Amino acid sequence: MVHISNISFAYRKGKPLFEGLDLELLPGNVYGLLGRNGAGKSSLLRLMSGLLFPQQGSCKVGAHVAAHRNPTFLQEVFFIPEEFEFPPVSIHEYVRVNAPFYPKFNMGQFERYLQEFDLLPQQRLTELSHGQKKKVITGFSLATNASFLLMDEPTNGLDIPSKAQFRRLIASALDEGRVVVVSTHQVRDLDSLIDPIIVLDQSKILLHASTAEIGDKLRFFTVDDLAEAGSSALYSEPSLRGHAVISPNNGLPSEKIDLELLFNALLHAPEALQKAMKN
Amino acid sequence: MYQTSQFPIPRFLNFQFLLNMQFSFSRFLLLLRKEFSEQGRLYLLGLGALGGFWFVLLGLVTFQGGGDLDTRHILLGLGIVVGGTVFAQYQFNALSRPSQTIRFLHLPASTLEKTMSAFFWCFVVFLPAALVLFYALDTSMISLMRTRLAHDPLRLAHYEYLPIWHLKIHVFLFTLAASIGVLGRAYFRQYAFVKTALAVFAVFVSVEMLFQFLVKSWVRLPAGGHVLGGELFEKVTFRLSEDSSTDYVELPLFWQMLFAGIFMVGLPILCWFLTWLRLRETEV
Repeated sequence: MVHISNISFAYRKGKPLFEGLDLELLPGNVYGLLGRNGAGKSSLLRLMSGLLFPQQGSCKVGAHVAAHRNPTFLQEVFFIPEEFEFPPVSIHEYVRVNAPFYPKFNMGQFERYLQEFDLLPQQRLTELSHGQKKKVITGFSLATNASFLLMDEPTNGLDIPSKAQFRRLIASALDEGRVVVVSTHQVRDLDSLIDPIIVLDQSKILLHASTAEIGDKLRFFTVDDLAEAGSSALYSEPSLRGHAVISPNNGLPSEKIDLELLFNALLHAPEALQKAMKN
Repeated sequence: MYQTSQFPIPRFLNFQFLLNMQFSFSRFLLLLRKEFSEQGRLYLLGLGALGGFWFVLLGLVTFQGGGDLDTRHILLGLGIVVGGTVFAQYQFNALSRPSQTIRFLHLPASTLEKTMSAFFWCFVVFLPAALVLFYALDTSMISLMRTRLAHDPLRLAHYEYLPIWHLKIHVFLFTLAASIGVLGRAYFRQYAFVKTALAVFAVFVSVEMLFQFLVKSWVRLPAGGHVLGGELFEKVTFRLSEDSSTDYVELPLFWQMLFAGIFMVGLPILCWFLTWLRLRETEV
């Protein structure tokens, strides 16, 4: 479990990024951390991974205080940043010298991931494309069997088939003891994977709910003419088929949850959406 | 649990935080293996470059410059101080770029283990390797020259082997340079080498100026006498009158040795301790 309690954090004095933030993440879920650029997604991940220290409050990951960065904590938490660099060695050599730091590392599992990604152990890491490097680090992170997997924009740089592979891999690697947090602004890439959803904006959590809760409370539908949406519509925006609308769920049939629409709605009409979610 | 308060104290003063210091020998060995695997080739290249530098200059000094002992000493000192500082700074090179800093900080090993790994590479690997390299080059060149000049005893006398006991000053210089080097890298993310050099220069000039100021302000002499200057922790030079000769007063040998010991041993230890603290405090 990740337990964030009353965290305050600022890069500069007088410009708080988070103030009194509380958050609890439970095992067995792939959390989707959504937000605009600069909303604090990466900073929140770094606070969870102990790379940033809260000025106030505490962040506990499992039994560990993240900011202590104890080796036992680091063995259990794998953070994949958006940008990363590899040393000038082969994949095989990288794994040979790095895997022993992770007691639960499974070589067979890693080899399977490499096969799935069409990568060879003897390939040099510095000669791989950005997307291929992402595949290596993703495969490595999953093979560590770390209980907490934190990923910052994991699908950036991946081609379309690789995004599908990525989703499949994460879904297959999820078990009841693992917490996966994926920060992204490309919601469409991961909408079938992430659940629950956390939306961050202006240093606040606008939404923290499972897709089941969202489906219970909100109705997503499309109308040709906006007038058809009725007065209960909480948010609408033009779409190719007319207007995509969100309204409170009053029992009428709903389309699949459109995360991008939900995200936009939360940014433009947060109070209405939050009120509907509370009812 | 670590938690900051309304009046936060530095993390390193948090006793609980100091208790979290961990050291595992097996993880330390893993770190050494990882460093060798990922940087070994670069280190060998660096040593090769240092060897090349010494080879060319020692060759000039030995074969064309008369094999002057002092010049060879300076070459050893220069190579070991500059090379050692660069090598030491490279130990924490990951701190120069955020993407590498994350990989470094998130590797499952304690900060103490990471710091000790850098210490090992500097003092157990680089220093002996550089000394062996220098002595191998110097000794073989001097031997060659001595063979050539076997018939000319007058010139032969100039080509002395570098006494091994002269090493202690170079080892001390390396210890100081490497220790300040790692501290500089831990503190300065960009242009660490230049900034470290400037910082050292600034500290050195400030301490020297402060010392001269204090000596001249505090030492009281009879009318007509004046203080000429002093050597830090060693002696003060003065004249009692304009036409008298220069005289000096020295600290007792015990105090000189004590201050030298503090400077030669204490300062490097302090640098490594501050480096460890800084790494613990590093955020990215």
